[in-house]
Amino acid sequence: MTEAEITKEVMRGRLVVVGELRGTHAESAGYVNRRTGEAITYVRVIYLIECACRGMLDRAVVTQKWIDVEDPELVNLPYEKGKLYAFFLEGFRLERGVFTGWIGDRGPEPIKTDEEAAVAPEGATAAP
Amino acid sequence: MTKSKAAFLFASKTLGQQGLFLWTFTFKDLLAVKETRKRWNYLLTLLLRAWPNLQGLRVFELHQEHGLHVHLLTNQFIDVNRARDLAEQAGWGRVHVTRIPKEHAGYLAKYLSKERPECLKRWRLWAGFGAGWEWTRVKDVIRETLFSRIYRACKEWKQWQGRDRFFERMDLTRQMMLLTIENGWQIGCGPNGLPYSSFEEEDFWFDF
Repeated sequence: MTEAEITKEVMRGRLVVVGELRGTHAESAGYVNRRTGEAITYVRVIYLIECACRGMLDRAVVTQKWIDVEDPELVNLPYEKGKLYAFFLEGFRLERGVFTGWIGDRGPEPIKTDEEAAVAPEGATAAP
Repeated sequence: MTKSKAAFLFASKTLGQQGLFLWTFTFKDLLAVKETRKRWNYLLTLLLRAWPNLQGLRVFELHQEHGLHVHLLTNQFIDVNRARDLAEQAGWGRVHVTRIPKEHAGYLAKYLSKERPECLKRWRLWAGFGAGWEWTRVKDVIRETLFSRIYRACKEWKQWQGRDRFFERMDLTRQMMLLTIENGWQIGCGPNGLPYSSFEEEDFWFDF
């Protein structure tokens, strides 16, 4: 996704946060009934990013619920630490200066720099 | 999902082992929420007097236009006409009931997902009623997340007791969670799998 494409989405009113990925963690989260031992679980991925969404550069957390996956080990997270990604938020919370966002099915999308975007894909002719 | 909603889902599962009935009680006129609650307490007393073995769950829903609605999930067939008479006696208007399959026992949980209105702060949005069954309470539910596991490790490390310095605890736990994700530490441990107590707390406030 290029910067121009993100700007287009923002101009449409989409809630987007862009940040440098610092780490990911897939977990089986949920609740356990202490009395019966029953559990309600779901798989959740936590993305740790560095961004300036609160004005200064700080770390923020974005979460994503994975439906139809029961084992966090099976979650494939092909993201690269240190790269910029765009997160299309469904919502967010700012509590005591802590930003927590959540996304839906649409996962983080890498941001291509102008140079990367200018490189033509294999087999295609270069742009004039 | 909140702890309260999770507790409701557990409770509805317990109740849902038998046939279930979903009830909705509303008013003709718009009433203040406190008045509605008073009338609900009266109606519940009448219902339990008429059917002492009645067991169920009650959920409050603040409707956008029609004030407070009361939804019930019960596990026993009761005479609707008799229930309507009692509802009328307690000052209620419309009563609607439908049979639902036990798989849909958690259906009422959707009302617990709504944002809690200001006027219902400190209210129990749901509650169980009836003798002879134990519904899951919020205190029976443990949240299992990365944060809660790290919180427990921090609690042990810092020997936290009681509820004082809540925000400081949250800040430290959050910092440890961020460091755990960023550095790929084992959950509940610091660098190289060492317990938090092997380090000074100040060390964790700098980047590794």
